[in-house]
Amino acid sequence: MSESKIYCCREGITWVRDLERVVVVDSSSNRSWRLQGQEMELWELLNLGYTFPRAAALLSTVHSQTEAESTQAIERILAGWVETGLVQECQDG
Amino acid sequence: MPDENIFLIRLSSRYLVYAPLHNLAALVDWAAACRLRDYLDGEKVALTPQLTELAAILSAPGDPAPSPKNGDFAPDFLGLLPTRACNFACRYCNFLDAETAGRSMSPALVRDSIEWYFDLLQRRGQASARIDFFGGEAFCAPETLDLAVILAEKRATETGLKVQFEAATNGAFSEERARWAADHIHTIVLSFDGPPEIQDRQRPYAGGQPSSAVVSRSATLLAGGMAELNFRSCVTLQTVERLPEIAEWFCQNFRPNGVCFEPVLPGEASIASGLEPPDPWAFATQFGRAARVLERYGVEPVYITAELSARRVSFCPVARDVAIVAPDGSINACYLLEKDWKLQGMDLRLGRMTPSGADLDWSAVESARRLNVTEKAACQRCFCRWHCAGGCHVHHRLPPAPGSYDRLCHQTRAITVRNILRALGRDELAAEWADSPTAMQESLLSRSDRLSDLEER
Repeated sequence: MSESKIYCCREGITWVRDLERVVVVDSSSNRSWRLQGQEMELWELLNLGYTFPRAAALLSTVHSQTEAESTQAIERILAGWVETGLVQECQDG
Repeated sequence: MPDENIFLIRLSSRYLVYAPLHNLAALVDWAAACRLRDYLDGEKVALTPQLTELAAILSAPGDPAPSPKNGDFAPDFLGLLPTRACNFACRYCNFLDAETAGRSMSPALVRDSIEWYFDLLQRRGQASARIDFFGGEAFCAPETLDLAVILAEKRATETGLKVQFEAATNGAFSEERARWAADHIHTIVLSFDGPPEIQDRQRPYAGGQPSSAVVSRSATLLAGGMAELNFRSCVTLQTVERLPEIAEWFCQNFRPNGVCFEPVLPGEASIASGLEPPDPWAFATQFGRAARVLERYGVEPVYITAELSARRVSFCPVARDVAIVAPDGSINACYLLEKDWKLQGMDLRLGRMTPSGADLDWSAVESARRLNVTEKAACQRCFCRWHCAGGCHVHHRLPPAPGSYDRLCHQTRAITVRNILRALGRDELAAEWADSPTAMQESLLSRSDRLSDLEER
């Protein structure tokens, strides 16, 4: 469960907030990603220190989902970020 | 008879003609003022070439006077009051209310408010949305803020509307939150009274700890983002002489877009703390001196009721159909405490937010619309009427007689003259004016500023 895991950005990851998106750059590999919609929302909430349950509760109101549906969506997004190398599991915050 | 929106203000040996709806200001002498009045009164008088040009402009109709709202409910913006709670205990704050302080807006109320507002804008065919956050301290309910911003940005993307956010804050939050605000909030009004010894004395945390370090850090971070950052500094009898120094300190240490100086509002808390409002003429003088410092750094000095660019019938959300949603779901025309309106015999409740939208009491909306400067007898003959619009409907109550000016009127009138002279490019004269409280008093105690009332002076 994502709830029991801690994620952090991989080294070299920086980001900037544009009007409708967050642009994430990996300076070590010169790659970049545009996060929009729910991905952008989650990225910003986690950066503000939201826990997964709090983020899920908030996003469920935004997207008229149940908290379980929001939790599943968060887990999908996080798995994608791990796979593409934006974040990794870490021992502490 | 000359248009009732053409005014004449005596400045020692000169006279300032001011016609806000004609976008005109000019300096003339007494003889020219009389000839101009006579000409506009329909008399045949000989005019100099300069006066002919002036008379031609003033003879033509000016822009329409601002008028109160009518017709369908058309909010200038949506106000959200995330919480009445605050983490500060400002020594002059009369705004805290133990009964309502603990309550925050529920997620459902935030959603209902934003859905209703965007639906209304879409029905009205509007292209942009604006949401203002009031308090208490809005950032004491961060999840409410986050939810509101995310929801509104989502709705804006779905509907193709632009959305702008404005927030008033004390700036006591984390670095992450300051960066978030700098990236998301378009206009931030940061209450910041000045150097540490002033800020810490007047605006401590609720536990009494000093706040200057964290507010300074926030000010730096906020200035680095996209937000338009304005400081609001509360001025007391004890700090009024220090305004130029406070302005210098702000400019040397931060990069605000504007600095607004406001005299303390007398109330239970401020009186108990011994913090009194400054003498109005001293305030206007020191404001002028501080304004010169700010302008040297390219920072805009603001005294909200003396803004020449504003043409309005109400200087605040009241009468502009603004729906301010409180944590209890009530929709109000004003963000002040209900007990404050009631003390003045006013009811500014417009209705309630429900899951199916705003349930507005139409008679309350119409009653709020009537709270505008066209209904304020004291303002009828004042040259500031379309800029100041009579100020706060709750805290600035004037007797119903033209020209019955009070302390706040004196400040507004004096600073407005300064701003007009600046707009005319007469910086030296503006500075001379601001440095002379005696001249201000001699000039501004007239009960009518209308050119047509010249005989009465």
